[in-house]
Amino acid sequence: MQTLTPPPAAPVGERYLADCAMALDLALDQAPFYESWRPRDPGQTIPVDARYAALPVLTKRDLRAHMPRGFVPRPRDFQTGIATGEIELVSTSGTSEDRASIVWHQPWWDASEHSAASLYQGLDRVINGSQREAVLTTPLCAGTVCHIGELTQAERTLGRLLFLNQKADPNHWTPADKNRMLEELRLFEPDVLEADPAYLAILARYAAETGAPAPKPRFISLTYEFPSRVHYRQIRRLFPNTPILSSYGSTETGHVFTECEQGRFHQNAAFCRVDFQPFRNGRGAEHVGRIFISILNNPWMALVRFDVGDLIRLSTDPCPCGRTRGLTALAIEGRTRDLTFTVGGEAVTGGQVDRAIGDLEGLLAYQVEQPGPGTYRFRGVVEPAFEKQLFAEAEARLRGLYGDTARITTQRESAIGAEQSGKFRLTRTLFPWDTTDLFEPKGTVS
Amino acid sequence: MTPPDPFPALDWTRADFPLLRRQIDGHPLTHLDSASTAPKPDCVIEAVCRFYRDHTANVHRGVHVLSEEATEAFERAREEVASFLNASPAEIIFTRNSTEGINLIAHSLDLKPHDEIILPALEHHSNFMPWRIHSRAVPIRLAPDGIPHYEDLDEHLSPQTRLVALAHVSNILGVVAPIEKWIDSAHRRGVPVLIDASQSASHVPLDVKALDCDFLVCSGHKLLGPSGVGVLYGKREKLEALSLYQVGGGMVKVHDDHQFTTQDLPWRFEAGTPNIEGVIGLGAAVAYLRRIGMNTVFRHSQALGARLVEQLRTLPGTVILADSAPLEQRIGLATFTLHAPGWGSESVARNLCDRHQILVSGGYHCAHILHHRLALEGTVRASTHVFNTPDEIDRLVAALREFTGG
Ligand SMILES: Cc1ncc(COP(=O)(O)O)c(C=O)c1O
Ligand SMILES: [Zn+2]
Repeated sequence: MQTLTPPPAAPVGERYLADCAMALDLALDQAPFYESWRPRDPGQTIPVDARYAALPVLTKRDLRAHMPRGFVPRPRDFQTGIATGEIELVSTSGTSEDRASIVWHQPWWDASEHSAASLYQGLDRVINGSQREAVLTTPLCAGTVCHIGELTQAERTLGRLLFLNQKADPNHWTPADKNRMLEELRLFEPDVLEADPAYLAILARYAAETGAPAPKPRFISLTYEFPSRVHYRQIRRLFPNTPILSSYGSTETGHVFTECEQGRFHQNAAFCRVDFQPFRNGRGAEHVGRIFISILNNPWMALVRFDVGDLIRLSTDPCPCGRTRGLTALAIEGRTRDLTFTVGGEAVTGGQVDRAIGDLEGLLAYQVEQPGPGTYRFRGVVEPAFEKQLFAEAEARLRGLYGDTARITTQRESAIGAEQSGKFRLTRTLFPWDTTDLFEPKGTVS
Repeated sequence: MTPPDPFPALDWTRADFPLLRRQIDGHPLTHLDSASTAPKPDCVIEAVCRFYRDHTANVHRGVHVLSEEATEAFERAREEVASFLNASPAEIIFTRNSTEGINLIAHSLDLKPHDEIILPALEHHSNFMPWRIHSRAVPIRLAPDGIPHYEDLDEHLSPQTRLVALAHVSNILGVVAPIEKWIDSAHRRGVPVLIDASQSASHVPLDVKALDCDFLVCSGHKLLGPSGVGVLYGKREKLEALSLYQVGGGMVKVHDDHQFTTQDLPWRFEAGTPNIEGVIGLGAAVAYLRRIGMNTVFRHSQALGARLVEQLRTLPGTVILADSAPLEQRIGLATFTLHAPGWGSESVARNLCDRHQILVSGGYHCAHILHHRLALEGTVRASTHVFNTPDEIDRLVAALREFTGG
């Protein structure tokens, strides 16, 4: 693994601000996309946080329209980079409106991953560039779209990486699929099992139900989507003693937050800047807001204030683990598009819903839909033994969350499927709304 | 004194069915023919139109936004149907209708001419002809009012029996059949069971896991959904054991000149571009019924069925099929003959429409064997759905009284 320049012995905060300034200057001066942003920059004499705050937000739509050339800073050149093998063009997962292509520079990604691993004790010793990783998420090639069919384990093993899944929706895994993946995991003995929590929950439940021996990864890293308590419970049952951490990032941004041993999320400050924009007073919970990510120290791609579409809850006190660099979040709160609204119109995050109902005993999967203002539908996949109490209890708790006059219906489901992107949505509205006025326009902190 | 089980008023649903606002000769119509095909609520019409308007694209193929949206809506409908039946989505195969579901099983069980399929002699042609063509159909005899001698099953089960097939609710009798008993008896002899839920699916709560049936079919158009779309449920291991049905695009993975592998369930049995808008509409229809609640739907249907039979009994000379069945086992459907010399069943139905704007079925209802065995020259059938009211039953019976007097 090629590592990037080790940090010089400068105070942590200063180094961070210097990285932020450097990334911003490189973007504004050298990356064609940001030409139109330049007039908004108050200039280098102003503190760097204020300069960032003055700039617009970068959207997926911008990425789709201007990638790759708009984001490769001069003097680097996309065509040359591809020819020398330094970069690739990579499509992120997701449905078309969610999807973008980005310029992928493997050494930057590896360095970001390694640095993020230092935020969980012992993990950085494993993430050393030669770790064996098994990946359980959407398939490289979804079975229903792709016509090349099933791949052998050898074909799914890329160096030290094993890609386990081959199906677009884990609800369609057959017992044979699940047995195969469990068996491959046992034989491959990964250092890290990197899993979409919804997928791993289904696999873990199956293993626990059939009494299949548990694989023994050294760490389980949950990523790709919001981990629900429902997932944790099913995963824990199969892996009672394995360290499980949640890792937040994306193809566009690299690793952004890592959950530490104390369960809080620390910013991977050597490789990304995070700007936080809280809800307006009364429009959503206190200390919760959306985040804009700028990537640092990536010579091949300049992303500034990219709206990843996710929300976090800031920690207001220092984490007991002692890590102080960058932001500390109490929780990743889910996606902005997954917000629902109370009877009074206040935004409710996926995290809030999950904390309200995710621990209901016997609940295996759920989705809370909001068909219109004030009306809610709880869809649950439940263990039959718990059915009776569970729905009444879910209704009561959701009423507590959304308001006394909430009209709530409940529905038992056989399965709640993944979206086309292969990801699950725990909450969603069925009516259009937008983020205008939801967030504090100025109050971004970083 | 209030009755113990109050009649669940579902009149509010009437506003959801634009067809009920149609007039014939300037008069509102009375729709009592849902067993043939049911009117559609706005949410179904809107789901189908929305697909055409905003998403038209093929499923499982494209990588563009529209195709993804279409696929998502399509698979979401599968989940909706799976939850409706308490099945897993992989066990739900979309067909054209009940008839195709039964034909698929009859074809893919690889039946031999001497293989026997046991069924009541009153089954709809679609649950009779496929078995006759592919094997030997063994009909269970009927009592004079049409109710099968269900208790005869055991004596007909033999080493040649490959399957037992029966309607959950016959389209003629309108009575819930003792399918649990049949499933139990058949399973004890290792024989799988196919349930024809064409009539029952939109009246009676269904739970394939609790029933433990091996296959179940139903049609979208009677379930308030579009025509040209149906559902075949099969237990996963039973579906996996079937040979291929139609082959073509969408159901194979690898294809060169020499070899192919088939898709997993359920896509293995869905060759070619499916009825995408139909499936999406069916999903909306099932969601609509689930919102009302199938227990409520059933109580409403039972109550209308009981009223229908009780009222028909007041018409002199009227013969009601399955008249001996307990009222609480009925759905809102009754088939009968009138004592009205000179009036055939079809002319009665036509007259009800022309004079009273009341829509019912008249004729043989695709059950010629039953009519033949009971020596009936056609029958009249009235059938209800969620939007029907007791008043409409009364209106029908008053109109029928013009034929019978009394
Ligand atoms: C009991 C029964 N089975 C099968 C069918 C056939 O349904 P379809 O014509 O939709 O295939 C019907 C339709 O009337 C029916 O009532
Ligand atoms: Zn910490």
